[in-house]
Amino acid sequence: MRVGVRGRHRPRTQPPEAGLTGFFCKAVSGGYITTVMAKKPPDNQWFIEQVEQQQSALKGFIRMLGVRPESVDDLAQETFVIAYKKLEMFEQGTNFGAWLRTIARNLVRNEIRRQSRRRVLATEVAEFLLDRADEKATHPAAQVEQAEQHQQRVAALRACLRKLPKRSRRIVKQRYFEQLSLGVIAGYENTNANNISQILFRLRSSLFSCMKERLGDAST
Amino acid sequence: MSHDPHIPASAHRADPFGVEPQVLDQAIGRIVDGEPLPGDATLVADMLVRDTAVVERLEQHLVVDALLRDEVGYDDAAFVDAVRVMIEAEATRPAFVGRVRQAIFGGTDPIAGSTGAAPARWSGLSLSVVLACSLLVLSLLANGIWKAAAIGEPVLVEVAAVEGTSAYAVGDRLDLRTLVLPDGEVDLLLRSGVRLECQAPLMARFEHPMRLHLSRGRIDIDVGENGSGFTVVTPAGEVVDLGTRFSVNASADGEVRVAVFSGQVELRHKQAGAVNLVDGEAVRLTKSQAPRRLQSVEIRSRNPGDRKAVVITNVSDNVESPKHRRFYGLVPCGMRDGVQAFRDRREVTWKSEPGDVFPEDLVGADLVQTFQAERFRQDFELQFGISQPSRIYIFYDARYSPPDWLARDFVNTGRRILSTGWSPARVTRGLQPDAWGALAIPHDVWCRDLVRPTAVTLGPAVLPDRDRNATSEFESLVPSMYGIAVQPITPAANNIGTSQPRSQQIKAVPVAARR
Repeated sequence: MRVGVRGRHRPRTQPPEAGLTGFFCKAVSGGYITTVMAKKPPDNQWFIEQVEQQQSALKGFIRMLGVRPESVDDLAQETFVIAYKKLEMFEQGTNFGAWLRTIARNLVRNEIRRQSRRRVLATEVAEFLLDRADEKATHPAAQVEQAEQHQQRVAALRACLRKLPKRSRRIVKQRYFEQLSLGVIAGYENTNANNISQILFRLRSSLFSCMKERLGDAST
Repeated sequence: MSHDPHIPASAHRADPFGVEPQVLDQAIGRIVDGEPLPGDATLVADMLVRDTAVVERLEQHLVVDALLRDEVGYDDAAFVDAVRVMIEAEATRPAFVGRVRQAIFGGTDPIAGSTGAAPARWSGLSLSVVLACSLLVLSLLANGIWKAAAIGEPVLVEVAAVEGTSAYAVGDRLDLRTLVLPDGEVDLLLRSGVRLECQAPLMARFEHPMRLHLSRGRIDIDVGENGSGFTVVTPAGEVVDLGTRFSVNASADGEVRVAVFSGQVELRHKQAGAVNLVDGEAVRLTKSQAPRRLQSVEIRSRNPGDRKAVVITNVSDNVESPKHRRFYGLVPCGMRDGVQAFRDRREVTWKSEPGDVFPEDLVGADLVQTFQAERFRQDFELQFGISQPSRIYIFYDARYSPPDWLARDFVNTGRRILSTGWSPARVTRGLQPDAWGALAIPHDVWCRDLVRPTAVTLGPAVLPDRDRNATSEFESLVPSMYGIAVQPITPAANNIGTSQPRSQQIKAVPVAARR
């Protein structure tokens, strides 16, 4: 049961509420949110099911915060581990995906504070994207279950990939499927890395337009 | 498709902020690709504040980039496995702290105490205790006593297994401070349940029951249920167990090799900091060199009578990625019904087809446990050497046509085995579970005889071009990674036991000399 509001860390002298097996107060890192709720042992099976369901959407969200592609998995895993450690703070029945995204935003915020160019693309850009994500998190639309939306996007993307010309498909495959660097692809395609980056830019633009046509503005 | 990808999206846009749209698009593209040039971030960040259209454009690219990476680049099951291992390690951490306290301070935990009143007493004394301890340490250092004290305390061990040495006998209970093993192998059991499988030549010493200094040699450690947190200190760094089975091998030249067989360890290196290694990962490191991938790890056979000389040598691939730390498991005589098939799929095993017996000529072959993670790479190459005339077996996903290199250099024996125990995943798409709900992938057994020691190069698991005509090439390219086993044809002089192939099982197979 979440009764917390913005405020400072409260002592353990809160009166116990009926039916609670235990209770505690805890300040969420960076958020100054004080939470009091029933303490339950972590349910591993339920949690792993959540990992399976939420991982794709969460990774996409983390990427959207300007995290380097090769660090997305790491941060997503850290997000899940923190969520597991703080599982008592999650109120069953509320939006688990939104809670994960809050943790992920805090993790990325820490990376930006550390000026960690190892994990964040460009600090200035990541800061902007993070602020924007914070704003969106308070918007009612953020409560929509993103995992479902993500599946729709994936289906649309698959359909759009089939329509790409042969050379474009090859380059997408080299970049994303085989995870080759721009320089290596440039070697295969007999051009330079900057050209490959531009081709990929145009490919992503056209894939996005195609998805938009299929899903409509809201879903993309 | 509404846009032609070969016409710049920004070609006809207005330029209200004095920045060439094409220059801005290129900067966004490079940032999204993770390879920005100096100045790209400043330019894009500046334009993000000034123009909402730029924000939308950047977000569009990140959305598509994330979807593409998720669709074709990552292995969902491996990700879930990694998280599962991490949370299991988290669950055991509090117990570990208690055990370390108990190991250091003995039966009574002076911090927690045996009753609820103790913490208050100790918290009141904490400052004076810290000061007293600090003065004691300084005094010891000044008097040169610290070095002697650091040798460590005797630790009670029980000898659980012995092979090839007369220095120990099974059932011995010893107070060991230092451990020197010039020959053979010995398994030691600590009171905490930690099992140390030591291989000669080995030199180590205990600092206390939860901390071992390894100077040289290989120890495979199974920490069991109560030994989480067991730490191995090596010349190159510390390996802290987080609930697992792992191996540490310190060589005379200062290089240390760490491999995780299950669970997770934390590796602490002076320069690289803390690095987490999970099930199936291995690294090599020295004091001055940060951890880098170790390509293959020999997994000791536990079957008495098995041949000890491994036929396969130097398994490696051409995957170069700083994050990639997967190792190939090399199991001497390991091929048998029910053995783990892939290093990154603990639950998947090699099995015979229902109603069939496991092919007899495969039993006891050296097994290479490959992993699924790199099965998509078109330029993938896997190399290994054989030290004596051998038959090479490849177990290729029978649902797909063989890749050219396999069809060219190997012969299909017409037999099949199964990799069973799969959870639903992309690789099992289209498979029906059996009566027990298990998913199994059929693998054709291919083979090739090599009559002299040589190097072998295998190609990618992905399909040849002619088979990429399904509805979507991205969805159709999902064969499982292949398996590898090697059976010596002529027994080596130092081979003993019952795992060698029988001569009447060897068939004449043309040796292709094209590689």
